[in-house]
Amino acid sequence: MSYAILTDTTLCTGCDKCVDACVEINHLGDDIYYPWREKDGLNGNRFCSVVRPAPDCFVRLQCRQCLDPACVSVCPVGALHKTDEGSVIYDTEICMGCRYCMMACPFGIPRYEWNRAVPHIRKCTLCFEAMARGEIEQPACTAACPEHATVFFEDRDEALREARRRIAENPGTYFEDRIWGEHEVGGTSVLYLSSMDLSAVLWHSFKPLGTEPLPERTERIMVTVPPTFFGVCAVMAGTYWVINRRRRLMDGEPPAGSLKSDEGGEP
Amino acid sequence: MRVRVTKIVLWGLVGASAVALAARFGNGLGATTNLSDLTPWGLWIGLKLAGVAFAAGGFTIAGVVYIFQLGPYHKLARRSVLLGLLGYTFFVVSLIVDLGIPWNIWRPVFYWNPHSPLFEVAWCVMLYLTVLLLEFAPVVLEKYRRIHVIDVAYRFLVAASIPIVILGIALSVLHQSSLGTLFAITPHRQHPLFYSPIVNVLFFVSCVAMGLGAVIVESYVANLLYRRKLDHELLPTIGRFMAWVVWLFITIRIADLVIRGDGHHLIESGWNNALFWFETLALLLLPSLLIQLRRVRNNRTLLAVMAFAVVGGFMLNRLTVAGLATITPTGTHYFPSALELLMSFGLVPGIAVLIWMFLVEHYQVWQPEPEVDQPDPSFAPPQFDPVSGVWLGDSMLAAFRRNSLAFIVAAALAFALLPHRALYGAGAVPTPVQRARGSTVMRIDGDRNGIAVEFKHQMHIDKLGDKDSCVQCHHLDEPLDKDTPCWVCHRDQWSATDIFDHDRHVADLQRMGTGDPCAACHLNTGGPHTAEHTASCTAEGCHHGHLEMRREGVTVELKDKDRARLAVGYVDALHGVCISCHKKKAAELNRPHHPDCATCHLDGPVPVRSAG
Repeated sequence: MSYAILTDTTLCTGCDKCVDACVEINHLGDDIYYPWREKDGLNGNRFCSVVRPAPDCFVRLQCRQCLDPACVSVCPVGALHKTDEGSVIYDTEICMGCRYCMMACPFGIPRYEWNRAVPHIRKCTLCFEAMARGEIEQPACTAACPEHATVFFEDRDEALREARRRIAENPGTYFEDRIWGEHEVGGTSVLYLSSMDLSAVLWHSFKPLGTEPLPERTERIMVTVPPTFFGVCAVMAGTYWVINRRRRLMDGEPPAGSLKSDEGGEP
Repeated sequence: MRVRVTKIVLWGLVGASAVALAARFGNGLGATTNLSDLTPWGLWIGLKLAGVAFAAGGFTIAGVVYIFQLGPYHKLARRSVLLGLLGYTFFVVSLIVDLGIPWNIWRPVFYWNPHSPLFEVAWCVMLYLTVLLLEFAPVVLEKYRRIHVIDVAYRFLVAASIPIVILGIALSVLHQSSLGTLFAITPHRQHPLFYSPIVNVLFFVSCVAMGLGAVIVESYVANLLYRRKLDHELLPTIGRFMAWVVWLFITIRIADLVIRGDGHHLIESGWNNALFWFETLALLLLPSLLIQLRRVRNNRTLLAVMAFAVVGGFMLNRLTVAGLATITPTGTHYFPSALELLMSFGLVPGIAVLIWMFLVEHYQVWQPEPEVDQPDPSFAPPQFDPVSGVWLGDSMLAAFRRNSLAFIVAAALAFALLPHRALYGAGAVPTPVQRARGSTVMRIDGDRNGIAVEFKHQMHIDKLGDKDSCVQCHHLDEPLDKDTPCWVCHRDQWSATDIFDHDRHVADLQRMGTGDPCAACHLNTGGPHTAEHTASCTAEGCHHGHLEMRREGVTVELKDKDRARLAVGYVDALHGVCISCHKKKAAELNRPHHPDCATCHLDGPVPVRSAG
């Protein structure tokens, strides 16, 4: 079981109520127009924003809570976790600020508190803490949506079923009858239905992301690390032993490689 | 003389960047760099990747000398290990500058995530730096062998040298390739010409060539600074070997591109292609071909130029992978700030080169020429070397005075030239509001971005009850004015602005001619004019003044009386006034959609399809 959010951009009116609810529950404060503020409206104190790629289309951006998240895979200290419920949460206490998660995220979601001298990574966690404490039944954003354009599901399969139902009931409404996030980078927990092509909006990418989870690309290489280490050690030790032995046999004297010659004129 | 000037310049650079460093830690990364959420890694990371490859000479030559036991190269062993040490010092220093929370740098020791390439990098750096220190320690320790403990340590390290070297090679192989692995997970960021799933292999091959090139470059610099003799046999051979590695790199890279089916990008046109071909042809292929010519190889300047070109080519390659190739895919524009440039080319290389100079001057980094005896540590180094005819240095105190002067002067200059943002922290970008146009129907478009609200001013006056209703919106009047428009105080589209205008108060008071204009507000004009003083003695008066200026019967509420001087942003102000009133009217008039966005934003949010 994994939580999911289905956002139907054909229903969204761009009222920003979800943003307000997010600000309130996460105590995010004012949105300051710093020089580094990105056009999409997400930043260190905005975890959710509504962009308008076309005059009649509003798209709510937030962390997609990938099923196999790149950010979790790359964090060198394991500060990010994927919970059983599906939230990708983070522990600012052990973060060292390398910003690799920001680099690796295909959606450009983790944001940084650039204005602070002790900055942290910030992003949406599907209101994980408040939900774990039992204060709320569903994330603040979906609860706040007056148009039911963004809906919370306790199970991702349920969300997919609902999305398919909408596609079947409204033929021709949705772009390519596609559920955005169903398969991309291994699937995400935040799904989108839209009447327009969202590829330029939902991910900053030169090429389509494909369905392979990004972490597989590095983990494929990372499994070769221990064999490489021991392999290199063994090959070097073997080479040294062979060459050293051959030298000794040829010269009948102690090998030069043992740093003895470093001692120069020492007796 | 050259040594002295070089040191002054380097100490100056370090001094200037020390100030930059203080600004970076005082005000954060946002104030001092041009990094942003979509380009979180910038010049620092790029140069770190490029700089650490210099260290590759350390393990390559160590392997050649100790494992393959090629005797003639032995004289290069110590200096290439030192290069490795400096490369990694460079890496660690710039990492500390770049990390958001550098005092958490030890976390990977206890918090593990073996899936992360950066976790592996962290461990390799820690271990390999230790290994390099152990490899290099005998050079320092041999000078103090008269002390028993040090002698024991020295003998132990020399005895353990082969395992240390093997460990160093294995760690280097892993570290250099895992720096590439960092970018295996970012296909969405790099142009296909520079993204490769086997980028770790490419990084490893290129670091070998860069390491060899760095050995040649170091010899040339040593020759330039200290007039050390260049080796006419070893260096050309190293140059040829470097060229072969370069060809291997180019072959793997193009084969990888073609096999993956991205070969067509090679013959497109554009910025990424220009980068790719400039790097491959001009900086890598051409020098590596020229170096095969005996005349080029045996000319020390030409050899050094070729090595410079190859090292530069690979540095460009790494800067490209880390940054330049991400411009097209992410659509972000990043150019390093002055402070980033200063710290990249001042602090980090400055420290590395100064350490290098200190070590080569005081310890036997260069294998002694046969005729030069091992210097006795009990003697101070000679100021003038009669054998080579070179100034090696002068009295320590004079050098100290000179270098610290350079440090302080440069630091003062840097402080004076610090940008406002770095000194005081980053503030919001101002978006000045421009007044609404029209009278009966007003077009409200504060930031003039074309998205406007047509506000029927006359209709509101009529419906709300003529002139008496002005006060419902126009809650504060300027002196000698009535129904002052919104934009006069709400001067920024998004941010809160201070409505107090000091210059205007001074001018008004002077015009009124009531004596000293300062004394009207500042109770004690003789006291120190510090910000705290001014705030403490006049804040109260100003607050009351402005609260009294509010008109009677206003409906707009002050949320925070303490912030009475602050006018909220234009957008917030208008939304606050309009929506709160529309909500009231919605109940009165029974028009539930009255507070909706679309009531005012006619060209704006309109539901496409009602919820079903």
